[in-house]
Order: sequence, then structure tokens, then C-alpha cells
Amino acid sequence: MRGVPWLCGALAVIPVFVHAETRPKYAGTVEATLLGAPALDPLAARTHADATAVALVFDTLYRIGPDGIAVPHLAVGEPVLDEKGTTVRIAIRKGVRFHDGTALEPRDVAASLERVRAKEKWLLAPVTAVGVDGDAITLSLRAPVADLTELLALPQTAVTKSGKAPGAKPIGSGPYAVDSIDPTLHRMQLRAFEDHFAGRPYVDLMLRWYDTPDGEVRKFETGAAQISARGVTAFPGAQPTYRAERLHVPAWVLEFVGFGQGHAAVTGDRAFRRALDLAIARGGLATINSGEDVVPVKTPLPGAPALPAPALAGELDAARAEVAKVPALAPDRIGAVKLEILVEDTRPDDRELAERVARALDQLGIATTIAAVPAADLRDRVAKGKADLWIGQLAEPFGFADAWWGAAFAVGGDDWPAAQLASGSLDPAAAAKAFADREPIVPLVFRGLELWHRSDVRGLSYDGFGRPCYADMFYFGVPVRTKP
Amino acid sequence: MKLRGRFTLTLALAALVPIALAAVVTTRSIAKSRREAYDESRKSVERKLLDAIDRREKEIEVAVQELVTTDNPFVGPLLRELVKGTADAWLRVHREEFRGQASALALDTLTITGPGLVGDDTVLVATHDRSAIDAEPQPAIRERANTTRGAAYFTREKKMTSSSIDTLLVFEVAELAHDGSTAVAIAASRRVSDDLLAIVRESSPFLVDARIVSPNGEVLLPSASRDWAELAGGDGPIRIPLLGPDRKPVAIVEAAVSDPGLDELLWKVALTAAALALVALGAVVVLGLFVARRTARDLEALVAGSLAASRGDLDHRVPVRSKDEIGAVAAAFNFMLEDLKTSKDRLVIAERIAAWQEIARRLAHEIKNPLTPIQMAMDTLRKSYKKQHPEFAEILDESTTTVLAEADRLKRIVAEFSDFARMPKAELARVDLNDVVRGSLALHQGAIPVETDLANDLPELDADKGQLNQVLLNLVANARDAIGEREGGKITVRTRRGEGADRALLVVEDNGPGVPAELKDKVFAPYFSTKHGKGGTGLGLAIVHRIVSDHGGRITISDAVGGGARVTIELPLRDGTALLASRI
Repeated sequence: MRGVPWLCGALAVIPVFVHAETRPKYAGTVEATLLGAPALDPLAARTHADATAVALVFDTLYRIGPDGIAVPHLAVGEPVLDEKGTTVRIAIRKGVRFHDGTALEPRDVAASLERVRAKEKWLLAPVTAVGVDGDAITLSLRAPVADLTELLALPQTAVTKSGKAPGAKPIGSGPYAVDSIDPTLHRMQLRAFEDHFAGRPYVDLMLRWYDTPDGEVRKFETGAAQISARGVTAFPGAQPTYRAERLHVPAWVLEFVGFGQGHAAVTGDRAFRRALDLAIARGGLATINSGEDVVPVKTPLPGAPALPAPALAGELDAARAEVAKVPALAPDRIGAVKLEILVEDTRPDDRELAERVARALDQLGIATTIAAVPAADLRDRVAKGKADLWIGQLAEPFGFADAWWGAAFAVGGDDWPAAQLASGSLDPAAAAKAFADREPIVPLVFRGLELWHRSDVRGLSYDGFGRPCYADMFYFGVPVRTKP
Repeated sequence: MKLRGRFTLTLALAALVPIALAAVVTTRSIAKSRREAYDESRKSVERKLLDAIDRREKEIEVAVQELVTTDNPFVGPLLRELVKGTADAWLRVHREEFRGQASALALDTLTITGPGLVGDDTVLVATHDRSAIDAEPQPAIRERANTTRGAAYFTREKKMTSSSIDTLLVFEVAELAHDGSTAVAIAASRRVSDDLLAIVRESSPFLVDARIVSPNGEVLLPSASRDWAELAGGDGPIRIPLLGPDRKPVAIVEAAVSDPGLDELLWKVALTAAALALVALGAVVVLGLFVARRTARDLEALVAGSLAASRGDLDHRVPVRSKDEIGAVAAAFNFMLEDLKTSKDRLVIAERIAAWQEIARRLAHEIKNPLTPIQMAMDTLRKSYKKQHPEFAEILDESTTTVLAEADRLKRIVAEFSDFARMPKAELARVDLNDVVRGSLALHQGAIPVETDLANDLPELDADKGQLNQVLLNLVANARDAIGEREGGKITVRTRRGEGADRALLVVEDNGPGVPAELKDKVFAPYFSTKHGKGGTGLGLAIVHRIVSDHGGRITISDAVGGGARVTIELPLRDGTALLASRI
């Protein structure tokens, strides 16, 4: 079914580029960018890079399209509810295979969802049990759930073999199989999966992530990479070597400050969190970009109006008043406190965000250090509580408010949404109030997404997360130079 | 103290005292000279620091002057964009270029404030801290620009480093740049780094170090030396305040000049003096010992010569090794011995002639005495024969008896003289004096008892046992003759260890009439006898005296307690030379 738009698209663009491109190659490798090092365990997916990589290697029951509507993917169709609306039956597509050739069975789906229920409580909070019924799975619900298909489209619900956490070389059923992962060289080689139930992707993929902003741009400028998240904007006034097109993505990712268990007496104190929230001069955060939209925020919900230029003096005074309430930051003890802010070393902009946070804490008299660490180390230290503060990223479907609230609380280690979602959905006002009271994280900015791609790369589209759908992309392999 | 010690000590003092005096004078001179140099060094350090600060201030003032002109390729366009109201977009593209401009001007920080997101003092550019951009307003930069009007000042600036926010001490200049009514405030700074302090740091001849502290004593730039307190002790550090935009000290440069080399130098002088003294002492000791040894050796040769002379060895000669005073003494000594020998030879000849005269006189006397009866007997015999005396037979018998008796007497006299003349030289061997006494007295037969009182702690001595035997027998016989027929006569022989423990005493004491005082000096002379006519030849005590002398001993005669005579013989336990030497 997906092959039709490919073909149509290809036929449509051939006349346009006929002077430079003959016909698309049903092969080849396209090098593209991830916005940071990805986690390849669906359950650990938080960032845009995580979500993108998981979508390429694994499949979910449903997918959210660019219009925000969930459509069946591994599921044969929409969920079938019983009369009470508390039991759902979802038929699983037949003939789906994992990358190792084994068949994907409903029990794999059920086991994967059970793993989500056990580890990510808010996500399937309404579900009380997951069962297998022939070619289908059944979900027992506490109450009818309006957004069930959207929940089952989230990357955490992606199906793994036997519902187990993937190993060093993940095996999923998605359009791409992992050939190799090299964390040192920041690259992952993906091979188009011949037996993907939706058809073989057009090209193989080399995904890279970078520890400096210009590293990615240099690749793109020299023609080594065909797709870039930063394009040519890092070189003001420069002319790109090859003709490129910019695609605006109608999606957002949230950058926030997370709190760990190191110096828990400080970072666990809500007065400290409020003080930090007040002290961060968000107006300046908008300048941290590579041309994409950046909106400073105080809530983890995209689409909120941009914050006005802050009355900093007043906010700083309020922040200092809050700090004074923290026993661990009493005047005779504050000098001994030095907080570490962890940032992922392959998300350069996070470093600048961390500097803003450090500046805010400096205004409050709290010393900090910034440490850039690999993504895996950051995840590990946060999970084990061995972090003070960290800069995190969340990527959820743009229009799915429950996912944003749930993920925002969850990433702050707060189970508050689980009880609310168990009844089917969240009350946005209650969630906002709880978030303001509990401060599980301090939201910083929502940043929009853009992709620059060379003109000989075609068919690039996005899903409801703003994730590039590389499986639908095709490639002529004949770039058009802009310079003689 | 012996000559060697005195001589060496004198020489050592003669060598050490000048060295010590020289060391003291040198030390004081060095200390004074170093102090003057130290004072000059402190002034020089202060001058260097002031010059360096002044130079750096001027450099940054010139650098900022390049920025504030509207011709500047960065600030000029920024002002124009601000006028147009498009600065935000322009900065989004060109903000990073200011970093290059700051780098080209060797600025550590470049901050530009102007109209923006958070008011007229929005941070538009902050090359050292991107987190300051569009953050809280910074009116202080504009205020400083108005106050200082382009003059450099010091301030403490926060800068984001790779891992944290550090507060830097900087030279800063703040200026306003205008384009019509639109203005931006520019603050540019250079870090006050260790190179400012490095220009005064040196280690020779004085140890100079510097640091920068805040007015409340917080160390902002540490000294190179770990132990600042020790370095800055003494005269204390030089303090140069670094003034902020309000002309109040923001920090203070402290420079310490220390002279640890002085102590070291003085120590080296002392050490050198000590080493010299030690070398001199060694040389003096060696030289002193050598000279003293030579001198002592010559003196010892003189002593040996004296001892030899005292033993009668007048042929002994002292070697004359030098032509100095010691050599003259040795030569004079030899001359004296030569003279003594000549005198002695003459005396011996004279004595020998006198002795022979005495012997001849004695011999004539002794021989004349028997000749008279012989002559009278023979004359009587001849006369009676001519007269055909009827009693001729009796006269013959009587006369021949007389002649034979006198002939015997003549024969004995001749034998005694012969014995005295032939007395052999003593042959020394290890002898127990007590054994000699016991052996000799065992042979004694007589009515007068001889008592012995022998010491138990008497060591053996070197002597001729036979001659000692003869000495004792002569003395006992002499005592026996002296006692004669007296009632209760008694002879006592005693041995003792001498007072000096280096001699043995042999005492023969009797309770006879004793020796008259006027005869005590004569009794050992040959042929002196109180018993002439009673068979005495006067050679007995002379033989005793000679034997004792040949053994290196001494003989004296004194009165015994309760009357009688006491003859005391001292014999050396070592050889005679040693006995004599011990008396010197």
C-alpha cells in the first residue's frame, strides 16, 4: 500500500529533475542525522533520537501520522471493544517477521505490553491485563480509554522479541535491521529489511550523531551526508555546495532540567526546584538554535503561548526567597554545595542550556560544574540516582497532551499521572497544578524540528512525532551543485 | 703536656684564629652588601609591576578604541541594525563573529549591551558567556562607560569555562559607541593572568614571587611558591592596589622579595671558613707533628746521649741533622762528650797511675812486712851457725818456720791482688734474688746467726748469679768480722721491692759497732781496710762496689737501727740504662 505513494512521488519528480537525475536508485546508502545518541530499547525511548531509532527498528501496533491521527500498523484494524468498553481485542497482522526471520506472534506483542505495564506505569495505566486470543491480543481496561490507539503508538510500546529488552544488537520487526552500532564513532548502520511487512525500504541508512554543532554541517556541506538537522545555518552567509531543501516539521521536543538523587537534600527540595525555575532567564533561551523555532516554556505541554520577556529582577528576588527556604542551602552551608549538571555529549545545544542553568544557579549563589557525558552514561547515572541535575529531552506526539504530562512526570520520577490515567485520561488543569506544585522537572524550551536534505533525496516525510520516515525515502544519488 | 702537643696546639691556634677573624669580617661585609641589593631589588620589583600594569591598561584602551568607532566592521553594523530594529535577526547570524573579533584583539571578554529583549541594557554580545545573552540586564556596563570614559580599570568578571563558572580578575575598559541616538555599551577585558606576576618572579640573586589577593585576603592568583608566608616574612610584601571603576581596590598585587640566598651564602662562607680551618688544622697538625717529631727526635737523641754518657759511654755521639739551634745543641753535646772523654781518659790515666802507686805502695807495704821477719830469721840463722850456737837446731827450726810462714803470707797477698785484677765481666741472666740469698747463706758456716727477711712480691731481675753470690758472702763476712766476738751478734739479710717498683733492694744489716761517719765514704775504696794486720786486704767491699756498679745498681752504707751497719744495694729490675733513664 505504501509502495503506491513512492511510485507516484517518483514519477512526479522525474520530469522535474530529468536534466540532472535519470531514475531513482533502488539501493544505496543515505547518511542522515540523529539529534543525539539513541537508545535502542523501546522502553527507554525519551528523546527524539530514541523515538526515531526505535521507529526504524521496531514496529508498534499503531502509528501516528503527520495529521496526528493514529492508524493501524502491526494491528490489523481499530481496537474492538466489548459492550462495557472495558475489554479490547486487537487483531495482529499475520506474516510479520523479526529481522532474524522468526515470526512475530501475538504473544510477543502481549509480552511487550506487559513489560511496559510493569516498568512505565503511567503509559498503560488503564490496562489491568494483557492476554492473547488467537491472532489477537486482549486488553482489560479499568475504564474506557479514549486515546488507546495513540498510547499504543508510543515508541515505548514497540514490540520486541518475547517482550524482552533488546540486546547489544537489537532485533525488531521494523523496516530496518541493525547492521552495526559504533558508539565511539557515533554511527549506526541500518540495513533495509527485505521482509518488512510494509515492503522493503528504498535505501539503506547510515545514522550519525555529533558532539559539535558544526560537525554535522561539515558533513552536509562536503556532500558526505545527504540529510542534516542543521543544514547550512551554522555557516552564516555560506552558500551550500549542493542544492538543498529545508523541511519544516510540525513537531516539538521538550528540553528540561531533570533532578537526580545526588545532593538529594538540595535537588529534592521543591523550594530549590521552584527557585531554579524562577531564576532561569528563559528569554535568552530562544537564541539557542540553529534556525529552528525555540520557545521558552514553563510547562511540558507544546503549543502554549511563548513566555513574555521576564521581569528578571522580580523573579530573581522570588528565587532567592525560595532558596532561603532550603535547609541544605542555609547561608553557612551553601558554600559547600556544588552541583553537577550532566549533559549528553552528542547534543551540543544541551550544553548551552546547561550554561544557562548554571548561570541561574550562580545568581542564587550555588556553584555548579557542567559535565558532558555519553548518552548511555547519562541514562545510567540518572537511573541509578547518581546525578544532581541533568538536561533531558522528551519527544511525544504533538497533539497528545496525556503523553506529554505522563512522560514529564515519569521522567522526573513522579508517578502522579498513573493514578489519573488509570481512569482513562488526565484533567489538564489538575495536571498543570500538580506539575507546578510537584516540579518533577523544570521545562526550559520546546524546540521545533527541521531537516535539510539534498535535492536528490526525495520522498522524505514525518510522522506525528516529527520523526523522519526514512523507510519512505528514495534517492537519486546525483546531487546538484550550486557552485561551479 | 709534651713538646709535640704544645707545639701542635700553638701552630693550630696560629692558623685558626686568623681564619675565624677573616670569616667574621667577610660575613658582615656580605650581609651589608646584600641588604643594599635587596632594598634595590624591592624598588625594582615595584617599578616593574607598575610599568606592566600601566602597559596592559594602555594596550586594552587602544584595543577598545578600535571597537567603538562606527567604522568597526562589527560594532558599526550592529548599531545600524539596532537603528533599523532588526538587530535580533542580524545578531542571530553574526553574533559568533564577535568572538573572532575579540580573539583578534586578544580580548578575553567582550560584552556589548544595548536595546534588546530585556531592556536597554540587554546583553547583545558576550563572547565569554553565551548564557548572559538576553538574560538579566547589565546596566553596570553602561554606568562604567559613563564613569570611566575609556580609562582602564580592574574588575572581577564571571566567565563560563568548559565545566563551570569562574570569576576572573580582568583589566577592563568600558566605552559607549553611538550611531545617532542609538548607543551600545562595550566592555572589553583581558584576564589578569600569571604572566603579570611572572615578570617579577625570579630566583637569583633574590627570590621574588607575587600573587594577587582580594581586599579581604582571598587569593585570586596564587604565588608560584608554596610557602608564601615564609617568603613574605621579614619586610613584608610590596602591595599595589588594583583599582576598580569606582577607584576602590578590587584586588591587590602582593610581591614578596626574599633573600634566602643570604643565609645560604653566609652559611657557605662559614662552611668555607670551617673547611679552610679544617684543612689548615690538618696541615698544621701534620706539619706540627713532623716538626715536633724532628725536634723531639733530636732531643730524644740528646737524652739517649746523656744516658749513654751517664753509663760512661763517652763514645756515644748524637747525630747532627740540621744546622739550626737543635743541631748546634747536638754538636755542642757531642763536643762536650768528646771533651769529657778526653778528661775522663786523662782522669783514668791519673787514677790508674794513682791506683798503681797505691797498689805499689800497698804491695810494697804488704811485701815489706813479711820480708823483715824473713830477713831477721835468716840473719839470726846465719849468725847462730857461724857461732855454732848450741841451740842452732832450735833456731833453725824457728827461723825456717818463720820464713815459710811469711812466704805463705806473700803468696796469699799476691793471689788476692791477682784475683782483683782478673775479676770477670758480669754475665746477666734472669735471677731470683731470694734464691741467690738462700743459696749463698746455705754455704755460710759460722757462730753468728744470719736471719733472712725476704719479700714475696719480688720479680726476677737480670744479674750474674755468681757475682751476686760473692757480693752477699763478702758483705756477710764483713759483718761477721765487724761483730767479732761480741755477745748476741746477729746478721740480717733482707730483700724488698724498691719505692719506684723498678728496683730490688738487698739489705745486709748487723748489730756490730757500725761504721764511723768519717769512714763511710772510704769503705768502698780498694785496699781500704780496718783489718790490716788481721788478714784484711781492703778489696772485699771494693769488689762488692764494682759488681753492683756493673749491674747498674747502687750501694750505700748507713747506720742500722739500734746500732750496727746497714749496707743497702739497689738493683734495677730492668737493665741499667732503663734504671738511669727513670731517674732523669
